[in-house]
Amino acid sequence: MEKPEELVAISDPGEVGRAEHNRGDRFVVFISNIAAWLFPILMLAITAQVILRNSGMNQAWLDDLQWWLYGAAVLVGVGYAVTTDSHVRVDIFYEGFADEKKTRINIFAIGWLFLPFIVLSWDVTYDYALSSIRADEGSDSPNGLHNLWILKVFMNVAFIFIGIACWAAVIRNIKRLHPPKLWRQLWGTFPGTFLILNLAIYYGLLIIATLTAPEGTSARDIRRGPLFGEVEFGNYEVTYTVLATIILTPLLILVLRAMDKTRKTGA
Amino acid sequence: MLEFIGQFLTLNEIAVIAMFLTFIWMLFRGIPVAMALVGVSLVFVLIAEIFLDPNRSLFRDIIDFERVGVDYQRLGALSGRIFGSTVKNPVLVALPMFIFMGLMLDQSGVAQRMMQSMQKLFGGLRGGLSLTVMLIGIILAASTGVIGASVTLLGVMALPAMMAQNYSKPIATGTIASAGTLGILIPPSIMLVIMSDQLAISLGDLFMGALFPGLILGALYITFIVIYGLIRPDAMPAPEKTEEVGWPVVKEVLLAVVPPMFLILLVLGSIFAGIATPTEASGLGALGATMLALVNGRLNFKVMKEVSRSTLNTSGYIVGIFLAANFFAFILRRYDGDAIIEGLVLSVANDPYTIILFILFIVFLLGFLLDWIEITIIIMPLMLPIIQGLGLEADIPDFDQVAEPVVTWFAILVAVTLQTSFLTPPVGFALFYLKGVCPPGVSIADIYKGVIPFVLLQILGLFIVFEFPALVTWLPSVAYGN
Repeated sequence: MEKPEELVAISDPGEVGRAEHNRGDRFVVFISNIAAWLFPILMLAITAQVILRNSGMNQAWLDDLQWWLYGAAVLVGVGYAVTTDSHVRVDIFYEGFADEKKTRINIFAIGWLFLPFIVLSWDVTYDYALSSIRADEGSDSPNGLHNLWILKVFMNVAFIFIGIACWAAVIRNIKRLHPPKLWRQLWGTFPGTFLILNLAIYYGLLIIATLTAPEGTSARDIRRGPLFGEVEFGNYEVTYTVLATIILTPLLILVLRAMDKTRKTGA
Repeated sequence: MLEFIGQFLTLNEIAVIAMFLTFIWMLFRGIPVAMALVGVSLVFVLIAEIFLDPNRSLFRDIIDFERVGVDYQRLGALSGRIFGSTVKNPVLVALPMFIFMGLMLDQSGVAQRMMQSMQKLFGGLRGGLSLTVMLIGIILAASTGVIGASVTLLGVMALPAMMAQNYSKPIATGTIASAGTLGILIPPSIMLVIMSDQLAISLGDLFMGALFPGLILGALYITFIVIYGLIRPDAMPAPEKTEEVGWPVVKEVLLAVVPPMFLILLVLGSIFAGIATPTEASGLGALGATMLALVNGRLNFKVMKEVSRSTLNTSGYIVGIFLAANFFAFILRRYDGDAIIEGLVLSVANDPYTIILFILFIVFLLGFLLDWIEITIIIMPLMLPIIQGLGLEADIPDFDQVAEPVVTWFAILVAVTLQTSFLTPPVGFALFYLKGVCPPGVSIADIYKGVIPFVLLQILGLFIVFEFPALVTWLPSVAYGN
């Protein structure tokens, strides 16, 4: 029987299965290990505020700092939990599945379900962050922490971080079954790849359109320009960017697959 | 076909049912909850945008259908929701801090010290070990992490000692499982933090409201153990040789019990006296637990580092569910799902109390499958408008101080129900955590047998809270210097 101290001893979540970690996983763990120190800092910030306020020296910026620190840390934590495979699941049946099935479920859950949501969240928070910068958004409280845009930009970057964590986790899982060739990675993250390609085309076109647009054209007009226009398919209106992506994504995967010489030899 | 179904259901209702069924199917496949939630939502965004909305005039000829109206533009509204629910959320600051406090408390060795010293004090008594476990469970309720930490901790500490003293296996395991689950109710509890966020009620009110119900349950347990020991002395035999209980033992117990009591006082007292907000109390508690570890000589760089990293990991997956549930709720609302569910629940009965009992029963069943994190984050927001619309304001005393007496009372009822659910065979969570640390020779059947009386006591406790709502709402009304 192990001693109680040993059984309740916690381990470092980032160290579990370290040998299997790839570069992406290590990067996520590295950043998370730094972010973890925000919690002791948060603890001290809270204590300082309680003491200061009760001695009549209220620091409104410390109130803001609390949720700044918390928000920054937990956003990193979401990615960390992907890497450490800690996201809670119902395991009554999962426990009994063969390892290969577990791996496939993980690839599907992370690559096909979670990653597209993360890419989507990145996209919607991108404009949100930009408009916060433009408005030079401040705090609700006059003495609070201003420059709220820093946090909003951080949130946007955090989604890239979570995306990296997802991608790395998919590679790690694919590796258990096959060599993680690029086409397998793209297939394992198909909806995510689709969205990323779509965004790349969209923002690429947007940059070109903005650079070539005559002086004084509003951003709104550029976004509605002919470059993005749409085609009618019965009831559906599909923009050019989506159309291009629908063709490009499968094409890319198929071409990469054909170029993969090891595939036929079964290596 | 669709025409036939259309006589009973609208297309939106069918979609909402399909949404929940897909979600449950994904869960059973072992897809993590957060990922299943976003997955279902994304699939139903596509279904609405590609299939349902463009063909709405076709559908409307045969079945009722409200336009869903989700498209990429509208998803832009998510940005504010993501920021507001997960980042700019001062109440949730308490979440990682209480997790930190619990993990640190586990590392600080206070539980082991309490066990050793209290064992000496109560050791000569019949059922002394059971009482010890129960008291530690109540005092250390704070250390309940998200992962059944206290059941595991109590199990490894106390079970070998109880076996050595020839306790009957059912009573030993029943005591540990029930003492361990008290933690999700007795403040400071992480579950109450999340409830307060999801139900938009004051965390201070919830903490104060949970105190009496938690203590009543603890008292019920202790009474049961004492009576059981009198009726069936052979189930909890007193040890053959006992140490003299003198001043040194009492002093040792005091030295072991005072520090954790001080920590509880620090957290709850600062809220009660209005010195700190509940969120700030979590930070004070985290610092207090760190100090305890320091005093006990358990604090070093490695412990600090690992506690911080585990806190990040745990709060990370909880916030992951927050993010996902937010998206899910957004899409569900576009499908008119919240109104559909509200209608469904309200159609069960006319009497508001029957409706509450019905909701509690559903929560009880869900507790077999899901942890409290998912239940509070996914289900509670859907129940909030129903509870507020029941018109119970006149029945639940608010003592002119409590802002949302009905919701606060309901939240505590849900907490007690979940606790019961985690204890109930055959699939209660606590039982499996305990089984995981049982010495060989203790079977799952022993555990099942052992928890039955405690489940009955839980139901009695639930009934008491249900009948006397003032037990919940009185303490908040006199707290924090109102």
